[in-house]
Amino acid sequence: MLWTVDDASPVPLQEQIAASVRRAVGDGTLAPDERLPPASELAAVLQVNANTVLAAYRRLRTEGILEFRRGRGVRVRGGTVALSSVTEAVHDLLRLGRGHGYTPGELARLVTTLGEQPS
Amino acid sequence: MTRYAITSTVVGRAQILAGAGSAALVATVMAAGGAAPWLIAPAVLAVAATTAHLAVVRLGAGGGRVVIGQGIWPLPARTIDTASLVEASAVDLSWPQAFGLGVRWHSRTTRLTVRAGPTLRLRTRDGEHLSISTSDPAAVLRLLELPTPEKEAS
Repeated sequence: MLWTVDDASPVPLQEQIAASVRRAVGDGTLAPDERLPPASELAAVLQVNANTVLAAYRRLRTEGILEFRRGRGVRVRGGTVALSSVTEAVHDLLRLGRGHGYTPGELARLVTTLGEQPS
Repeated sequence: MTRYAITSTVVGRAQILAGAGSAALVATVMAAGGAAPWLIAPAVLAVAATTAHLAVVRLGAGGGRVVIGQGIWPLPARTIDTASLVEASAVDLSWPQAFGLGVRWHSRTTRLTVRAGPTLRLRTRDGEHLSISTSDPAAVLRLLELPTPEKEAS
C-alpha cells in the first residue's frame, strides 16, 4: 500500500494518513480484514511521529473503517464497503452534469479549474 | 515536500495450515501419551504462536530506510538504512526457492519468505543477503531508488 504525506499541505499529517487509508479501502487496495502496519513502523518510513499515526488510526476506528484487536493489531473492519464516497460523489456529479448538458470532459475541466483556485 | 512510503504484510497461508496441523498433531500425541489438559493447552498455544510469528512478514519502505518485521505482533522490527545497501532486485520465487532450495547459499543469509512469488532481494555492504516476501517489490525499488543489477551493469 502506498502512503503519501505532504509537509506543505494545510491538511494535518494525521488527516493525510487517514486519507491514504480511506482511498485504499475505497479503491480496493486494502481489503476487509487486512492488517495495517504497526504505528511505529509506518511512522519510521513516513518520517512522522508514531503518535500521529496512532491518532490517524483512532480517527479511522471512530469512523468505523478500522478495528483494533488485542493481539492481532489494526485491521480493516470486515464488511467495509469498497466503493468510496468519492466515487459515489463523482457518479452523482456526472448525473447532474449530464442533466445540464455537460460532457464528462467539460466536467473534468471545471473540476480542475475550481480545484486550482485558492479556497 | 511530499513523502511516500510503501508497506506490505504477507501471510503464508500454507504455513498457517501447516501450523494448525502441527498443533493438532501435538495435541493428539500428548493426549495419547496421557498428558494432562493443562499441559496440552500451553503446548498447542506455543505451536500456534510460533506459526503465527513465522508465517507473517511485514515490510515498510520510505524515508531512506527499509523496515522489516515478522509476526502479527508489533515486536521491534529491523531497520536498514538504504545507504547500507549495495544492491536490490525484484524476483519471483518458486516454491522450492521460497523455502531455501535451489538458491545460492551465502554465509550471511536472511530469508523472510513465507510464500512463492514476488520477493524483494537486498544485499548490504557487509555482505548480508536478504530475501523478503512483499506484494510489489518493483514498487519498493522505484520508491527507494536502490541500485539494481541492471543499473549497475549500464
